[in-house]
Order: sequence, then structure tokens, then C-alpha cells
Amino acid sequence: MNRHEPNRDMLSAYADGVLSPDAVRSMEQHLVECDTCARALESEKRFLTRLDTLAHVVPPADFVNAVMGRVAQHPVHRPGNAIPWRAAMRYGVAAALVLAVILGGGVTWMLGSGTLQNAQPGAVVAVGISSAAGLAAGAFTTLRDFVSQGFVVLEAVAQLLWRVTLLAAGAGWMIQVTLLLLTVSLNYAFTRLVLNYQRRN
Amino acid sequence: MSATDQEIVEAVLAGEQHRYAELVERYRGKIVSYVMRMMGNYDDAVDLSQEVFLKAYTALDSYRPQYPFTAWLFRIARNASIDELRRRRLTMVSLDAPVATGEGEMQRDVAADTPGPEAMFLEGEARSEIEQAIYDLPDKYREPLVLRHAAEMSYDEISEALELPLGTVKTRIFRAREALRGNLERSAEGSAGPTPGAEGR
Ligand SMILES: [Zn+2]
Repeated sequence: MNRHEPNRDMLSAYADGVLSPDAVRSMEQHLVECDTCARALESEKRFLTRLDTLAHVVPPADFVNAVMGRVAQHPVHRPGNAIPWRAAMRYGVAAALVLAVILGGGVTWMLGSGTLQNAQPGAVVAVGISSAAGLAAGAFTTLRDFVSQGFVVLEAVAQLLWRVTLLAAGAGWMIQVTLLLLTVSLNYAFTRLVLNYQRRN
Repeated sequence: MSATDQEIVEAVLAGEQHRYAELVERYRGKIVSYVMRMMGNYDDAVDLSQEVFLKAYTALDSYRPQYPFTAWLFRIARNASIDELRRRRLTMVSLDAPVATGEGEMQRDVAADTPGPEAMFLEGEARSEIEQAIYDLPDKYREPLVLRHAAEMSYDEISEALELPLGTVKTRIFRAREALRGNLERSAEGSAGPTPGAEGR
């Protein structure tokens, strides 16, 4: 082995445990043979320990209490606080828009084909709105906690409401079942979408 | 068995405010050390560290449990330190600026009482040469070094916290050590008593 100046960066990296396994192996082989590097490594380790000691500062004994005293002046976090309202709103609006387009198209077609003759325009609008609300609620249900469960209840009420409205409007059961299935499947699709989005983030 | 960071965060977010003390207890040493080595003054570092833990508490619902809690906490500590240093530098500039009075301009006699770390040694605190050498390092070298030795972060964590490539982090830490090594060896020669295991080069 020829004489050489130890590579301090390599020794530093070795002492720090950030060399690749291959580099570690060849370093250890070399350290057995080379006294200069072996001594330099010892000095490097002492140096790093010294840096650790130097850099470290001990906080005052009352540190935790001082922080907690100030934390206590802030509101306690509640499960409902964590809802990302803005994201939830975006989902709700997107869900409502999609449903409005599909329902609008469907209703126009049904009106044209005479299926909805007996239904009053007010009832049709009510169906659209309550279904959109139901779908938006579906998006909310994927957010943890009891507030979103409140939305589930709201959705159930909304569904009931539009079906009763349809009945009063004189629409047949075929329309009811079709719209219900549509809402449920869209609701399911959006729930999956939101869940996937949340998992990826 | 102690709870993981994520478990504690979850409990705090569920309303168990007092459990936040466990996180403060766990990371106070690293945060105070980091802030101290960024700021240079112990009392200021302790105050700012308290602020950091308080900010982290109020923002806790924005923490994403997929990521290490330390990285998130250090990002807060880092931003707070940078803001504070920037504020000080601005304060120094504005205090040094001449003040317009009725009798013409005069220099403010208020000394900049909140200097950056470079100037802190002048305060007369007992501080070793090597300690001062750490403060004298340019920010871009000092910060990764401090994260490594004061905060005991891994190279990967530092790379994430500073948003720098791993290679850059390694290079900067090695350059910082190189600068300090010479300093330490000189101070060791100057100190009384035998140097343990004097290194031959
Ligand atoms: Zn060698």
C-alpha cells in the first residue's frame, strides 16, 4: 500500500454511516491494511462526537410546561375541525354539476317522449336539487368524523323528499326507480373517487 | 411502549390536548439546539422554540401522517428561524439608518440589540473558538451541519427538510466539517494539557 493522505470526506461519510454498502466494504478492507487511515478514522469519530456535543443545547427544565401553558390558551382540536372544507366543497360542487347535466339531459328526453307529462316543472326542479344535494353529501361522507355523518342523514332526508315530491307530481314508479338507481350509482362512483384521491394524498 | 408521533398527533387532534406534551418532550432538545445554532442566543432560541411548538400545535390538523413528523416540525422551526433572522437584519439596517429630527439628522444611539449569529460572540458569553466558528459558517453550510449534529437528522431527512439533493447536502456537510476541523485542531493545540492521542498526519 503506497503512502497517501487519508480522504477525510470518505472517512467522514464512513463514520456517519452514509457510504454505499460497496464503498463500506472496500473502506473496511483498506482500514485493515492502512494504519494512517485507521488513525485518521479514530480522529474523525472523535471530531464528530465533539461536534454533536458542541451542537447540542439543553432546553430549560420548565420548557415543556411553558409550552403547554401557552397551548392551553388555544382551542382544543376537535375531530370536526379537521375537515378540509374547501376540498369538500369542490367535490360537492363537481358532483352537483355532473348530476345536473345528466338529470337535465334525462329529464329533457323524458319530457320530449311524453313520459313526464303529469309531472309539474316544480317537482322536476326539486328532484334535481335534492338529488344534487344527496350526491354532494356522498362526497362529504368520505371525510372522517361525525359532521360528515350529519350529511349522510341530510342525504337520506333529501332522497325521501324528492321521491315524495315525485309521487305528488304523479310520476310513475319507473321514473322513480330510474332516478334512484342513477343517484345511487353516481354517489357510489364519487365516493370511490374521493376515497382514492384521499388515499393518494 | 411509547406511542409513535402519528399516534400522539391523532390523539391530540381527537381532543386530548394534554398529550401534545409528549411531542414537546420528545423534540424540545433537537428544536432548541437547532434554533440556538441558527440564532446564536440561548434565551432567544428558547423563546423562538416555544413559538415553534405553539405554531405546530395550532397547525397540527394540516400535518399529513404519511410524512415524518420531524420533517414537518423542522420545516416550521426553519421558517420561524429564517423569518426571525430576516427581521433582525432589517431591524439592524433600520436602526443604523440616520433619524431625521428637528435639528437635522442624527445617528440613532440604540445599538442593534438583536444581531445575527455572526455578531453574537461580541456579547461576551463564554463561547469557544470552535463554537464561534460554527456561527461564522455561511448559512448554507451551517444549516445542514446543524441539522445533522444538533437535530440528529439523517442525510435523507436533511435533504427533504432543505429541499436539496442528497449529494448537495453531503457536500455541504463535508465542507462545513472541513472548515471546522482545522479550527478544532488549532484550538486543541492551544489548550492546556496533553491532547489525547495526538494525530500524526
Ligand atoms: Zn489509507
